[in-house]
Amino acid sequence: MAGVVQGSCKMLPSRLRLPSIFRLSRSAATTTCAASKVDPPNIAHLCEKARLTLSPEEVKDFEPQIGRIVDWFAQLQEIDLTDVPPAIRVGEIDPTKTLRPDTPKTFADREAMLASAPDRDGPFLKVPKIMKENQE
Amino acid sequence: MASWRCLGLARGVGASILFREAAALGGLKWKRTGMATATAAGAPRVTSCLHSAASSARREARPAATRVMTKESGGGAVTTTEYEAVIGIETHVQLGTTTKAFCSCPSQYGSEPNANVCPVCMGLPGALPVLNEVVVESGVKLGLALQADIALKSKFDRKQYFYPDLPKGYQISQFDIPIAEKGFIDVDLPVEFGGGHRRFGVTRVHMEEDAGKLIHAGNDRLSGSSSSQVDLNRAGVPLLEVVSEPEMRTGLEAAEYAAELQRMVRYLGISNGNMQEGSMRCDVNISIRPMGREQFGTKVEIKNMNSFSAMQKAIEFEIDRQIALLEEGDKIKQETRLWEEGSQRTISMRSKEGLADYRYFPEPDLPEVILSQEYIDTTRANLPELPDAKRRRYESLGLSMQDTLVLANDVDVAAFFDEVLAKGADVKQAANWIMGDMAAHLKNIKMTITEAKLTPASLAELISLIKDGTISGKIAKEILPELIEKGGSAKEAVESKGLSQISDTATIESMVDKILADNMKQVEAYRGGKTKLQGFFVGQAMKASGGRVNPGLLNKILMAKLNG
Ligand SMILES: [Zn+2]
Repeated sequence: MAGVVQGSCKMLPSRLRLPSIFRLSRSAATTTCAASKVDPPNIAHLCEKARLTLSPEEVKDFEPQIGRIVDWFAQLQEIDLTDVPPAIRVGEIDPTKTLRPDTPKTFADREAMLASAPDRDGPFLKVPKIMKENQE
Repeated sequence: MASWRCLGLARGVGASILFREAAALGGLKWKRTGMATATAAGAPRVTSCLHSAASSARREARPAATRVMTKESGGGAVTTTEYEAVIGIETHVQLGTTTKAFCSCPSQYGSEPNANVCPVCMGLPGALPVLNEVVVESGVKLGLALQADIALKSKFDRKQYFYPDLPKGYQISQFDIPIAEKGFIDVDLPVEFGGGHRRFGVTRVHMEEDAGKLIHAGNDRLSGSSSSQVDLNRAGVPLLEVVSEPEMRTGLEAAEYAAELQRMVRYLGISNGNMQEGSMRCDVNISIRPMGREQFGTKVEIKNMNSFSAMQKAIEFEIDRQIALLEEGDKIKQETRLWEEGSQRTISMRSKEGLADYRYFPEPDLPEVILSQEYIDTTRANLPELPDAKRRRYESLGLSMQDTLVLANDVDVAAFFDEVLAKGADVKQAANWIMGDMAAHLKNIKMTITEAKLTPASLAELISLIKDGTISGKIAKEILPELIEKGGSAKEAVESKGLSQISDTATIESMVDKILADNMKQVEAYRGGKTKLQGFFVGQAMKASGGRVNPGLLNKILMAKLNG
């Protein structure tokens, strides 16, 4: 979602090229936000990226729903952002209040938290074996 | 003089790699591996002794134009292709903070599995990350040390991928606006490889978090286990990723770049830079192209090198492998390969053809990182002297490049040396004592220079006692081990043991008189022409005085009496 909104409007510096899961039309990626249009999402591709398996019926069911959400956000395309400087984020930030001192604190409910894991193996969490192909 | 023989070897081929290895291993690791256990100062020297015979024969500097391939073309004419390698390095530096990057869990190495976890680093819904101020400080320090541009406003992004060591399903990283960009590293190439200076560009430094650890225990072949164990202690531990420009051309240059980066983070005190423990991890991107061509070849990524020499060897192996492929008309596959230490080769890990799509987007849970110019200026003003500046200063003091490289290699050794100099000791003497006898003894007793009881002031005192003739160099060597192990002042040690040199003419004269009277036969033989017996009389005097008699004065008096 973020990809659509930010990639297609001038809220972000122009050098930012987010690889979007949606394909943007050419005009959207360049300058005229107001006149641009967002292509409908490719559900199959989305599923692959999110490691989800949907049946063809489910895809059919979701496609218009997700399309409507994208269209709703696409209203942002109509805002004229000429002369609006790029911003990373909306709103003022007090930089003195965003950092935390490097002081350790132990989380008290650790055992309860670990107990909620689906499976454990001694002190470890237990997960299905996965080959390293997707790891960076 | 064993240590000086070592120094001779250390100056031989291959020693610099061993210096770097020693630094990479660090004091603790030396003990554990049971190899040469030593201080960082001692290790290089002595390891060189141990290893040079075995390894120096095989190691040699490789020129940048890596190989000339000669081929006969159809008409009998000979065509040659000269290749050059293009090497870039991505280094992950684990920061030595007390807590993790975005939560207050302790970040130290070696805790019980999953002891240091909380809802933030386990990625539970609703948990909010808050950035550790020391992470920012470390990023700024390293950025400044690399002479990079520091971003007054940078931001975090989510890098999405699915793997069980990453509980959130994304890594918090910096994508398009890193904390520092456009820096460089200055490197002094080792003397035995021809020396010389190089500057390598650094594209960027960004802050991010580490993933947890996945343990594939209970080997599935035996147990049929289809599960892995996850330890999330490391999940969320802060990293700085340093990306170099593709400006290195040889394995040696790459290894030296990485070694200098390691020195930098150690001098800055932001990381222990330990490659064996994975606190510093280098991924190498490498491609080859015919000399003179501007276009890059297909690049291959190499991972899993846990020492600088492994890095150098992996790169050299990979250059040969890629040239051989091209020469046979094969294509180079874009892939990730692992360095296998056992077989000394790289093996394919995974193809990179379907390039990962990480779907980066701005991290909504974290505000951007806003820095003031004042903060940056203060941090810059408080930076310690960095390795390159230290080397230039040591050179200006008159030390050889080899000594300079050895002393500046380890931040603790350099600090000790600087303090000895501050106490007024002679530069060359201080260097020799630290790199020689002190390093050798520290190695023997498995102690690091920071653990030694010998203070810089005491070593400076010892050196001045030799200089003013109070003790001989030989006596100094004898009392050094005790000073290292038990501490105390050099002067007191000399006095309490009655070791000060006998430089009083009358005392020496009466000593010589007695020796001559007790050995009349030898005196007659000497006077009859057996002048070699001079050594015998010197030996007797040394024996009688416990080696304390001033050798110059003794000789003068002895000669006068024998010949007079
Ligand atoms: Zn935590």
